[in-house]
Amino acid sequence: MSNDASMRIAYLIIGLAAVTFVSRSFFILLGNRIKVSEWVLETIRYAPLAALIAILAPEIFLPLGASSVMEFNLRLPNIWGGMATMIAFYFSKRMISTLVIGMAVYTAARFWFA
Amino acid sequence: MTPAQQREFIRGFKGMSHSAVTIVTWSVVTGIAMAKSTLTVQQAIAMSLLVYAGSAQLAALPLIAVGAPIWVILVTSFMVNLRFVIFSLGLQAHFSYLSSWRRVLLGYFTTDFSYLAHLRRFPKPETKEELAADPEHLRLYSMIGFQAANWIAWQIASITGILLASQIPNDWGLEFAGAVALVVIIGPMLDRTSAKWAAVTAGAVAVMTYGIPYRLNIILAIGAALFVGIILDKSPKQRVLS
Repeated sequence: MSNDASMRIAYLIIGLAAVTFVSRSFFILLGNRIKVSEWVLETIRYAPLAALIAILAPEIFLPLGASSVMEFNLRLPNIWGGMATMIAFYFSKRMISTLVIGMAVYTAARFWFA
Repeated sequence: MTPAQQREFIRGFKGMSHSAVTIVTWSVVTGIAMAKSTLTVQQAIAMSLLVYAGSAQLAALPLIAVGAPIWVILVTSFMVNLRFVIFSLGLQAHFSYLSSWRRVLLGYFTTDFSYLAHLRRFPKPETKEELAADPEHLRLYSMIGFQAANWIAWQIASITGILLASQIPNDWGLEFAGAVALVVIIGPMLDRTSAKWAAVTAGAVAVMTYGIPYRLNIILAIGAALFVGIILDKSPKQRVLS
């Protein structure tokens, strides 16, 4: 990894640690000083879900390093692995079994389409 | 620590053992995903020790891999961490007597597990009289016990996962474990119709606008999903159904 790239990661890790500090102590620290409306709290309930899906969906439905949605194709192992993972979680609701099934189908699809 | 404080600390520490299997599983998977991403082993260990927020770490990895700008990664991880902002609202009244820097430290170490463990044991904050009768702040030591056990279990398992995965060849496809873990985090959040539609919106927008610069598709997707979630939440029909 080049010097520049590793500095970038160093700044990023410090930034992410700061995000942990700020988010986890937000109202513990500021609770007395600011009041938030119910409406804001309702809105931010959806934010973690939205952010996680926004990251996960392209990871499952597009190839790594894709430049646009046009690169979608059904020969991608992540699509089959991702579908299997979702189905496995829907029925088992457990981390371990979801992981085993998801990884197995992903691996099988990688060999199948190789 | 006084003997009473020590007793509470140990009680909290042992109390975390109910969640040990879950913590260790998550942590090993997060460690594997970090080691199999574009990070080096040293960077992965530094991330584990400093960032200490599993779902934000898992969310950051694919963005780092595609070279998203730092500010997009930080905004996204703050969005993922907004649930902690809500938790911190719940804890505020419990620890408002502490000095500012102690509150920041206490907040930093409060994960999902220690938050839930504390509120299960002490659903209500201490009243003024209770606080006056508790000069040793025993509840704080119980919380520190929860947090210490959680931190130690997480870091040992996470670093084990990083070191193990670094010994496994890259072509085994272990990096997909991060995507599986994200599915397992997201699943339980889809508990209402409005949340499901917000999720569909986020996914569709993120994929459809994937080609736009600076990975702004993530930001667009979050905005669109918040909008849909709020609109559906406010509709009268939804209120009757839920």
